[in-house]
Amino acid sequence: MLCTSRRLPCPHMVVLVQDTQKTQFTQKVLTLLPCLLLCLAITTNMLVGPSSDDTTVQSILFDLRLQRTLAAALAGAALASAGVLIQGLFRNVLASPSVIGVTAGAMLGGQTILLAGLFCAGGWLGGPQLGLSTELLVPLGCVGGGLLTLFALLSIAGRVGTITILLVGVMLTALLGALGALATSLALSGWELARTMLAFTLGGVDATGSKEVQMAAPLIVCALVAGWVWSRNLDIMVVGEEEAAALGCDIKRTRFWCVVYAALLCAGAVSLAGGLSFVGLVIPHILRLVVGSKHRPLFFQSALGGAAFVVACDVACRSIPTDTTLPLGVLTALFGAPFLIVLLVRQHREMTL
Amino acid sequence: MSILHAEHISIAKGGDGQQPYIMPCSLTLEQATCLCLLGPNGAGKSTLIKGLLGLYPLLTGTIQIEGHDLAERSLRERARIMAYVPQKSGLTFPLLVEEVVAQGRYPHMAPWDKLTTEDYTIIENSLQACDITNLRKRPFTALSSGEQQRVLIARALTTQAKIIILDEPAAGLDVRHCLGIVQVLKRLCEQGRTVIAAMHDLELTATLADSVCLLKGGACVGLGSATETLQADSLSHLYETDICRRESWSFTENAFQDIREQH
Repeated sequence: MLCTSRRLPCPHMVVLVQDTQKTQFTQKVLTLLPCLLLCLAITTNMLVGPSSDDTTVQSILFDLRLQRTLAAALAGAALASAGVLIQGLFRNVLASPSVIGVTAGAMLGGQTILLAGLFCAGGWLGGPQLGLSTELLVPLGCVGGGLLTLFALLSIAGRVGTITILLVGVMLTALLGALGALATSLALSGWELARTMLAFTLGGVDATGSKEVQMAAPLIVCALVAGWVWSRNLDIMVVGEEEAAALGCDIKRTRFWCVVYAALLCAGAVSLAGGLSFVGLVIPHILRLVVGSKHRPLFFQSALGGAAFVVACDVACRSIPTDTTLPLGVLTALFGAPFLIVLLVRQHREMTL
Repeated sequence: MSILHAEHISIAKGGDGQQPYIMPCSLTLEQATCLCLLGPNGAGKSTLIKGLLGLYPLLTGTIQIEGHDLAERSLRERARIMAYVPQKSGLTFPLLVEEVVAQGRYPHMAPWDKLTTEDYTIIENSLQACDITNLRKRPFTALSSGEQQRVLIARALTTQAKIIILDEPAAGLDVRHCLGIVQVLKRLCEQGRTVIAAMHDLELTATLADSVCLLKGGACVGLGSATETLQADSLSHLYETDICRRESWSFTENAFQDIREQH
């Protein structure tokens, strides 16, 4: 017995354990990086802008900034972590939450509510009578639109393979995008409405109030926690469905819940900040290069990194002096796309060297 | 008691298919033996393998592992009993070799568990058994197909399954790598694991197999010990080509010795 235990590959095992400790150490350092960036971005966002000597005015300013910072952080975290779920599920690092159609559905839901305001001018779909204000109805429309799209997606593609879900999602995105464009063109009849609609479509947290944050925050936080729990199964799902099933992973349940949580995250993000492009694609992609492909750490880091990125973009939005407000969605894409291109070129160069 | 006993099983291909692709057949396998499945392309080797693994539904019949019905077990329990080595992995993410091998611990872990020292010992032993300790830090996607096959076998070992089922493990490999794989599989049998492998190469099959199952058009046309089934007339009938055994370029018993020394 002693003899066999001596023959156990102890030296190698120690190496592996040491390795793991080393990677764990690097992991910890890297964990701090998005976290630090997030703190930095939040602090900057709270401080940038006009200030006043009057403490009451100052506290109101702080309050307003806190709300938009929270909204931006939640939307960024939601989109980036939804990106991790979708990329892992479809085994494609270039997939993004918008491919399942839920983003387009949530946008259309919000746009429909805005448009309905035109036809029921002053009535807002009976909102005031029910005690619901505009600022609550639009996010509700987003979540409703997102969930309806998700329901359509699952009922069309729920019983078939992952690739079909992807195709149906792309088709739904095209269909709902066209309807969204129709809604925008209908909105052109009223100047004020057209402005609101455009601002919503381009994405931003200027109009996001405390009620919207209070409503979306529980949804996003719950979906984040649940998504994090399920994301470990994606480590197994990346090998392909049959292999994953042979390794004991329940692929149907994993697929279902990952799509559901990604959709909830998308709908929540759209309800807070409208259409923010590129966050769900770029952030997981960048962090995968840093953190590695394990989905739980990647999910956690992406949530932090996404939040930091969108808050930082909001800082830029507010500090770049222009005549009009810069749309947040434009900035996320402006910063995100070139950054990803540089990373991809560098990665390619390293691989060929 | 036999480790695997399949009674009168017929298997449908794909998820909802009702048409049996594998006609009713029965198999019995003793522990620490190797069963090879032979047959032309499309004969149903892969379908039978996936049926045994529970990935394709059984239309009739039952599969018993050590006397217990497989249908009563959960996916995770099955994965702890039977491990699957695909012909080619669908993995496209650049996971490291040791991460791929560590996936074999998944059926043993609860959602909150982390890999323990014991898990690392098991992973380490599997890496050694497949002679891939030196590849552990390489990305799986950067390996040659022979090396990938070894990694997949190591992952199957990490599940500690008693039965290891391989779909054409030697497909597309050169002579030396084929021999390497066969050597690993023979060693597994010696250590008490049971191996089921779909094969194309007759010479390798003769080296590896204790028993052989001949499949043609979804039906089992021959089942028995390697010497009984690997006969010129039955193989000619199986492949509808004249096959005979004659002296030709081939590897010798010394080849195994050479490979062992190189490692």
